[in-house]
Amino acid sequence: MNDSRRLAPVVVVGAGIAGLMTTLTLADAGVPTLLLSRVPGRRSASVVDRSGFRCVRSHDDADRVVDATLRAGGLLAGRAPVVGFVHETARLAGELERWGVRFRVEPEGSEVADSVIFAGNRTAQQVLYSLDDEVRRREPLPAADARGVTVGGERLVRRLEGWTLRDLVRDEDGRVVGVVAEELATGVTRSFAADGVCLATGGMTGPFGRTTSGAYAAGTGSVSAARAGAVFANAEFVRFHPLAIAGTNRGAALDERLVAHGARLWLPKDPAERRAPADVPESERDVLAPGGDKDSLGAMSRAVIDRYFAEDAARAPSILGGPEAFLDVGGVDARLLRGAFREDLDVYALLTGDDPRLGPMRVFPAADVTLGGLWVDHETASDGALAPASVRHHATSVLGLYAAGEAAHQYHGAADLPDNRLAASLFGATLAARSLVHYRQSLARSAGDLEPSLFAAAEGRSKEKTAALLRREGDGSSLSNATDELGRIFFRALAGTRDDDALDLALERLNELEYDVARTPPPTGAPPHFGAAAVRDLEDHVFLARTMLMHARSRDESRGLHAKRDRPRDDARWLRNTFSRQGGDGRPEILERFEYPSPGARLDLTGSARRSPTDAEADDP
Amino acid sequence: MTAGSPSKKSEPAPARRVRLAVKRSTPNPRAVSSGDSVAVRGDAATRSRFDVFEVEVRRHTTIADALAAISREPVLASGERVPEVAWETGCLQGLCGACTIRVDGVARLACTTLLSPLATKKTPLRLEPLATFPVIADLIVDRARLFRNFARMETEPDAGSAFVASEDDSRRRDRTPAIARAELLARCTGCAACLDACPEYGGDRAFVGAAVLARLERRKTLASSAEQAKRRVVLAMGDGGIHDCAKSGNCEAVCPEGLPLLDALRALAQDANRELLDALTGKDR
Repeated sequence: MNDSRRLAPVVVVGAGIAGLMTTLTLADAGVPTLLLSRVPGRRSASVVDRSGFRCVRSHDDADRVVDATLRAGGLLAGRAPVVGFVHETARLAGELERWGVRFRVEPEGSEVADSVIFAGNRTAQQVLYSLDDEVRRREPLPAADARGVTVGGERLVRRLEGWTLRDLVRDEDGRVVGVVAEELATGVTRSFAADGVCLATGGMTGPFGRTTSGAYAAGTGSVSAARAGAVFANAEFVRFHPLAIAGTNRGAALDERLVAHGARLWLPKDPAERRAPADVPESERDVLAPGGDKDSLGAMSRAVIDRYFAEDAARAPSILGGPEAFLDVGGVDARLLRGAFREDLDVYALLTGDDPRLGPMRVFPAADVTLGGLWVDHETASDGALAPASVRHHATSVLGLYAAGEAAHQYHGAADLPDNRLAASLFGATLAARSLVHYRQSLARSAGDLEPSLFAAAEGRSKEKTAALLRREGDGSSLSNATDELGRIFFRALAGTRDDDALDLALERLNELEYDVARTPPPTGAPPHFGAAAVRDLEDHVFLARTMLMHARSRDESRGLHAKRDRPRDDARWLRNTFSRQGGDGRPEILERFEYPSPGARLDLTGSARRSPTDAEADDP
Repeated sequence: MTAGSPSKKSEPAPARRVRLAVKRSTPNPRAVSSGDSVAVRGDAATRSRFDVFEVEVRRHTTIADALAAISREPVLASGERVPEVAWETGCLQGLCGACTIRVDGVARLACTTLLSPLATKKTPLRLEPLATFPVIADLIVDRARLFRNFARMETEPDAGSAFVASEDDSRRRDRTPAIARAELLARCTGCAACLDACPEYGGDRAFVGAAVLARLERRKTLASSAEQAKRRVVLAMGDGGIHDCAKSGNCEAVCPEGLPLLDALRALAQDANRELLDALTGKDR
């Protein structure tokens, strides 16, 4: 970049694991970075992830893990990004250790047991905290503090916590040149010029009434990108967790590895069973066996959900009025119950007031993570590996906009190999940051030099939207009723085994709901902009729900976490990604192919297959 | 749902009605400044009152459940409809530290605190915002100060190397009580309950509080060299550091994670005193 009067920073949205890692990598490459987040880093939704950290230490292991990852993902994940991240996991683990995470090898692991490491039972939380601390070391100290504190690196990070993304600012060419954000406490809305924006706003589980990710408005960041024309890929793939704890309104989940270690998930044979679970004899229980299916936990969730909805008339009431199953830990090694799984049992006792050692636990399937998301690019070199330097890695289909972490579609395909997500997220974040460094260098002029009127206009649009919401006197349902209705429609159509009639019905009901939501007045909370924000979140969730339903409708087969009734896997037609983009009516539409502007080139992307492990092997020297 | 004759056992325990007195504070528009620094001054709390709600409580009802029910239907026990209660929440499973409020004067996480065992008196259970932070609205406070203090006590990375499997065995063997404690301390969520309970924290006092010092104690114990550990002790000796701790032990008593904060603070204070002594006697360890 040459002679700009005012250089704009790169803006990173979201301070979870991916956003913090992107910020760190940018700062250490000398790029001034503004980090915007709704909640402070330590409180972001990354804390709820209970999986371990994939750490591959030898080449043999790497080959096995790459293969297992691609197969788990139904061969939809790109081979080059997967190879890239698998080979970087050990280095990333080493960095995290320097930043204060203390990893251990636990005696029990997952499928590829020797390549998963843990930081207590809260690996993701520990990773998050260490990244948050490292980013804080790169922020300027408050002026009041004049003490000589030892710090390393340049103080290039500016962080605004308690701000939510409202809109992306684009110039006349459609390039993203900034963001509009709103401070939640005050309602202050303003724009920030940006020489590149990275969304690290997490997955899309928000519309589900039942999730493991608490009360976070998951997915609204992706909707801002969609409104700017960004393409979604593979939004039909959602992982459900079979072991969320019933009795909380949205919830904590038990460690899935319990099932692999002998815990038994069961349903009463009689759907109308009304005895207490502990009183149901062994012979009258249907035990859902793990194994068999490659993705047995996803299959177990589906089995519980399908049975609940199939037996609409006869079923006994459950605690939450939805699918529920029971989990016995009697078969689990007592040492593990006192060790690795103690915390799970403690959390259950804390949240329900029941002792899980005395009787079956009540658990329910809840949306856990989304595997698809904003489509992001990658560039391969002539040897088939990721290009070492590229502006294209993690670029969305909108120029100047990048995405990382669960917000992006990369690395997992149709289902994730257990314990892959943390390392993949971190690796993706470093790639996105390095692309942004190149992108920023390639700019002819900084967004800081653009006409202020461009930003003022974008700010004005967001402010007007809030004002319009606050003026709304609507006769629609109350916000909480509409939110519940969305959760019901969406969960029912998408959570179990899917079929086209049910998906069509859900889309129709979504039309009615959308009409209703457009008339929902903001709740009269104090201060008023809180209410406006809540209605906006709901509108975004309706958009996401429609996107995910349409993707599920379009994939006419079963693959990975997408199971469709009477539609077996069909590699001849469906070894490819599904895409959607916002159409002229403001609603998503499914695309077979799309064009997108890439720096220096206009690429045409078809929805055809990524490489499968077999044909990609030919490329390897 | 079909009608049936459910045995008593299988049905959830019958709900009882519990009254909650929720402190309401109208935000003062002048109390918040716009722009880059979030400065919320505390006079919002001066215009406050208690609203009494009645909620259905079962055995597994948490305070967060009750607040969600109130938000859904913000109607007082007297029948009057009032504005929604503003409260902060995140993970709803005790991991993110967002929902800390005062329940009958004690700082607790709303999401993991069961209501039933606490609602034993005739008077309504009082729900208030944390007392040591500026109020944004109702039960929401601004804890930016906590994060600024985390930043002030930040320390350089450990030397470390890439993690290798063989290290694991030696780590288990060498796990001294101090290391075991340090590993536990990593679980602090920054919920700020310890700061709410601390007699030395708040107002214009500089004390950074247990959450921040415990993190420093952890990094000190796991430091990669004696010099690095010493630097971390010196960091803890600055303004608002370990010497401002009066060792009341309140922090440990309210910590939702049950962390050994008092031991951690004592260990850090001991090291700090040794540094002081060495400095006074000119001894270079």
